[in-house]
Amino acid sequence: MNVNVIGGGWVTAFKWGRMTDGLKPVMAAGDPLVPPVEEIYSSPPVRYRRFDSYCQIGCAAIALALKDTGMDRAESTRPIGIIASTRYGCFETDLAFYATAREEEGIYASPNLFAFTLPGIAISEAAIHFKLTGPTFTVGDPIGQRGYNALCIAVDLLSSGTCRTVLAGWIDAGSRLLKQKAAGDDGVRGAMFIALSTAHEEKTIRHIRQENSELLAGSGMKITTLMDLVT
Amino acid sequence: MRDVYVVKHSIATSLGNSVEATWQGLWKGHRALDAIHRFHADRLTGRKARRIPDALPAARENRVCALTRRVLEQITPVPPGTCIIWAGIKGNAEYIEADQDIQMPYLPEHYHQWVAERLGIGPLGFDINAACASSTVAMAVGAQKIARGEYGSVLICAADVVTRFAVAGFSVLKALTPTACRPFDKARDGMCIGDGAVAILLADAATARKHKLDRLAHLSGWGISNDANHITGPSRDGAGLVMAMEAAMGMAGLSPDDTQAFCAHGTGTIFNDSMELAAIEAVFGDRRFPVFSIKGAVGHTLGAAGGIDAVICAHALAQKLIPPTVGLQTPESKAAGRVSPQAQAFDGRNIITSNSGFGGVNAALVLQVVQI
Repeated sequence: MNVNVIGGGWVTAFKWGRMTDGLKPVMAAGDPLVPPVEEIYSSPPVRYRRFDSYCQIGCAAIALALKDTGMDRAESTRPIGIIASTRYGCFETDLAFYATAREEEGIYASPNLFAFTLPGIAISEAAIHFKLTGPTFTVGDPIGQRGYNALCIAVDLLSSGTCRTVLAGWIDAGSRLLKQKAAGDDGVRGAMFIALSTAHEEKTIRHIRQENSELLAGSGMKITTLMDLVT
Repeated sequence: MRDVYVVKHSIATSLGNSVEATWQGLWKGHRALDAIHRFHADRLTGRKARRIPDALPAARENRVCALTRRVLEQITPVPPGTCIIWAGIKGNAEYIEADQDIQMPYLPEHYHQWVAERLGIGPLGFDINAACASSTVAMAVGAQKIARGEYGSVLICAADVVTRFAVAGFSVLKALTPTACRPFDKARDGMCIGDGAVAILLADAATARKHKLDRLAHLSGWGISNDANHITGPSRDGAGLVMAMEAAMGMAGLSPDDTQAFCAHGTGTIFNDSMELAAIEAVFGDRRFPVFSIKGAVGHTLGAAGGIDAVICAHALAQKLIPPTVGLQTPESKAAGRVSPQAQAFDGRNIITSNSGFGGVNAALVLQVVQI
């Protein structure tokens, strides 16, 4: 099964960027830089002002990836999927929500924060804004694999014919409120998405192929993280 | 592509610690509604839940682990090399409520590793979060991996429990019933949260044969979609669910006229149930056939809900019975002639089951009687 990589975008603590800019993402520890709204959206998502940081960087990386492919604008819905790997998900918002729920038996708990207490909300916000109706869910992201599990599932969706285009990526905003970091956490935060397609040959930047349970780049190199595809 | 089968399953719900006990409870119309004692909920909309009060955690564990242990005990052993997919969605709530001061699992990867250790198999696998459709999506992803030959068997495991976190959140969204959960009823006024856990082992025919596992049901189709409409509310016309159902039926080679029963998400909220009825009309027209929801009896078990529904569907196919929709009194017009508070005799060979969740996620599965 051959898959075309047709674009990508990222947000890191160093900078944001797109694959076709010829830039390479620099993964760095620290809070990711969020691009100015006008630089990545023709009009901001409806609830943008309510986004938590996890949602902000996830949507920004998806917006950059779609812009990179020229698919950031649409009049009607499109069956494009979004699969994201994440380790902490929306843990910061979970803690912030619970802080509002612990007093007065929870009657003043924040409904807005509760709406962001699932890791898939970031990609669903992107699905709403960009009118994408394919599968959207998150998968776990063991240390060092930033985006690999999402990439494997995205290729499964393409090879089964479920979708012809899928955005696969990684989002992690961490949490300053979390007392105990996960084992091996190197403090790198950010988001990165690439657009994979079995169509759009004319937009192809590189190819990958699935052999048994492995993903291989066009050169035959085994792919182990999303970074292998954008550098 | 290889065929995929359900070869083992187990559930723990407020009705009992097995599929048989839950089935008997459904049959009797048990509602198992308990007052919430673990935390103060008197001022919240939903003061009651479907609980499993004797699920007590061991040291360095929590109630999610306690429930998961129950379903794993019933499903052990699993074939070596089984891929594990964890699909519980709020496994960090107890950790957060304990002020992070007590050692217990708090990330999805911890649960995935914990399950692998309990089963004594390698930590192959990952976790999936698709809101309240998580275990449904996990079954679809696991089935896809078996179908294309990556794994011979996949274990889907999920558990979620009633927490202050969830009760307060759904309460302020006005999603919890102050009375009783009544899926598809004209007077429905919200859902009820429940404790629940599920473990489902999927396998191809060769793996089932090699390990002498009975093929309990054929998982013949699956579909996943997003409404692209709203974060906490379903689309009014059910268009997203229609896409998921049509994809699942198409993969299974079923037309709408061939589909013989539908296990709905049926949470008992006004908007979810209306959306599902709109989707049913869009796919099946005015055809009357059995539609049911078990949430009036076991509550909404969050990430475990879809897997529990799938197990009930497999059991319904084997028992040739459709369980009652507990809590239903006066059905919505579109539900009339489809949803019943009584158990129904069933001679069909397939059931479609679906779940939907926050973020506009929809997922559908088709389960069929195994062709011998």
